[in-house]
Amino acid sequence: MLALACLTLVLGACGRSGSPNTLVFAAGGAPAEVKVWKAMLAEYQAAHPGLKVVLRALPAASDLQLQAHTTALGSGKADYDLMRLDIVWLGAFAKKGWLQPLDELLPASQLVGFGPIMERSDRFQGKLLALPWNMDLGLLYSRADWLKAAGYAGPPRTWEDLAAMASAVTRALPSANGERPEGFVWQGKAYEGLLCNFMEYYAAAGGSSEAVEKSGFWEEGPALKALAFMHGLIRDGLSPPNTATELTEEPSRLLFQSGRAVFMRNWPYAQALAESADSKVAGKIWVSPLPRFKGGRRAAATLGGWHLAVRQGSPRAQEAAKLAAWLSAGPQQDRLNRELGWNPTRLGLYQELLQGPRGASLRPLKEAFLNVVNRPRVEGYAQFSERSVRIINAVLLGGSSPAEGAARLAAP
Amino acid sequence: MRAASLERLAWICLAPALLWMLLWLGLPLGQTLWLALKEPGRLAALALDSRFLSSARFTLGFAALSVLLELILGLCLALALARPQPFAWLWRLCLLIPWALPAAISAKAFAWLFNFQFGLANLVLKFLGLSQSGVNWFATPAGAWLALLSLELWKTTPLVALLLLAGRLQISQAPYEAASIDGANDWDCLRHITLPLLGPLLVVAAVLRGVDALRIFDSVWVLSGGGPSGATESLSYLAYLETFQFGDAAAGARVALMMAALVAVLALLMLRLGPLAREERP
Repeated sequence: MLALACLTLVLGACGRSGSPNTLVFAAGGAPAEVKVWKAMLAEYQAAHPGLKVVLRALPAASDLQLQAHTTALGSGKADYDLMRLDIVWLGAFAKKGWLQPLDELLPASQLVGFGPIMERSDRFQGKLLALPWNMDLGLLYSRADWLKAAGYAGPPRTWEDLAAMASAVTRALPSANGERPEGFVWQGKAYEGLLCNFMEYYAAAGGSSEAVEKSGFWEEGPALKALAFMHGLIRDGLSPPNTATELTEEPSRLLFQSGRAVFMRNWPYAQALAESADSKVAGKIWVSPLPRFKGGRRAAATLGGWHLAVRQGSPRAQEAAKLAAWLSAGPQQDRLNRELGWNPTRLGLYQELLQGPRGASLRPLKEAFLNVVNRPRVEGYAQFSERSVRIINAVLLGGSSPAEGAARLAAP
Repeated sequence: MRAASLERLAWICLAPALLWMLLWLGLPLGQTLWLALKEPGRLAALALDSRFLSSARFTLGFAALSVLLELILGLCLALALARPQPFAWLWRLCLLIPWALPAAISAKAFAWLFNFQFGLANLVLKFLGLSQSGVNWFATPAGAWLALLSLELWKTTPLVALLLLAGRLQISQAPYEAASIDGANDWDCLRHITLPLLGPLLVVAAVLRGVDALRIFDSVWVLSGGGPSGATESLSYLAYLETFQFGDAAAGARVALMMAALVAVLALLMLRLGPLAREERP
């Protein structure tokens, strides 16, 4: 790990671009993503003679990217101008003064059309520090064929219904090869994904991130309701016992896509894969917004996604901001949706896309879009999140009761 | 005079390598030390920090148990392989495979072995009728320890076995022949000839493996993530979390410094108290 960090530093030093006309964009992603970004940067460069745009490819894993950024920015030796950042890092980067406000660099006309996401995620103390590039949110995937056979006309509207339907369907199904499918798979391992899952129940139970930001702690009532429900799913056998030890995004997708689960909570990326030719559930699923609690006022979907920000102190800040605006403009977001399946952050684009051939897959997203919630933007987010995750995971493992867990979440 | 100029030449020849080491080892080490020591109060506070203490307990306990088992298993393997037999070279080569695999890859393989739904461990348990639904290995400290321990043993016992095998092959046949004339059985030979003569190598193996085991990181990172609820969080994993996940390099440096001190003390003790210490004296 240390060797890798050193290597990143050394490579960073070698790639230092001294030319004043070279713009460096630091971003890490899957090979397919890097390919599309490079093509886009080449296009931008061709349209701007005299400007050279370089992609500094960071590791694909997001925790390694965070490591590269904190090392480079923390030491003051970063030499890139534009960065692609995970939505949860924005708060910490803003607090450390690593991001340059964009309202000073771009005309207001280029900063509209992003809907509520930008105001909730990218504005810190009145200053706009990033532009949303793509959007992720929690969705519910259901096995339409099994549910229809059991007499249900559509996906569950409440969490209580989901539990009842999962129980009914798993009991009714003939146990193929000796194993009954799981009722509901989701992300319960001790990592950031668990916090995203918890956030959805917490907000649906009436909790708010703003309250957490004010006090630094979760509200006990909603936290208890969330923990009790999550714990109950495992206790009642609706979710597999290894939910709390092994299930992250990919293992849960594997279970659902291989026909071993009735319901799954996952991000939008799972949709294209579940409908792909080699998927066992292609053509047999519903994708819908996550349910609410019975009698609850709202449903909630945790917001994820990646944002573009200009490094504070970049000598080419103006150019970098212009590139960020171009990358997140309508035509580019349309291309990213077409080639990578990314979900746009511009509301206008949804209206357009919904009419087209890609509309069907975007419809549940647009509905869920109205329910998005942010994870709390508190100081020292990494520690806050890790502590919360440990407490929540301990409840799922049965090490402490939901009431004890909620009490610990609500106090230092 | 000649000796002095020779020595100067030696220093000149060594200088590039020394400078290189200073640059890449000395500077980062110095910076880590400075980071760890600049707030002495917070360094002292580690002694009361429950998370640090539980990591230290896990690291020490796990290292002790795994090294002990590796030595016992390694000795058995070495003695078995030392006997003349057909294809001896082939068995010795096979022994190297787990050791030669990259740590992260063997850890990933073991994560699949112990996977709840698809893992071989649960398949076998179900096949033998020992468990109805399989064991959720990483849900209990005991299960997580077992998974980690089996990975560590599988990966590093070969090194110990090879070291001891080399030592065993160095021992001449003469004492064994003499002993058998005196009516000693196999057990007597092992107790009174093999073990005493292998003593120094056993210490070397224990120190090498002990230092390595105290640094355990990759298996924890890939296999258990420090869970359940921190039960398998090692010191180096904690240092990594502090530095790279929480962005607090000073906190990470403090943990790393304590870990280095622990390793140094234990290594010194083992070298001073074991059979190696006797050899040092004239």
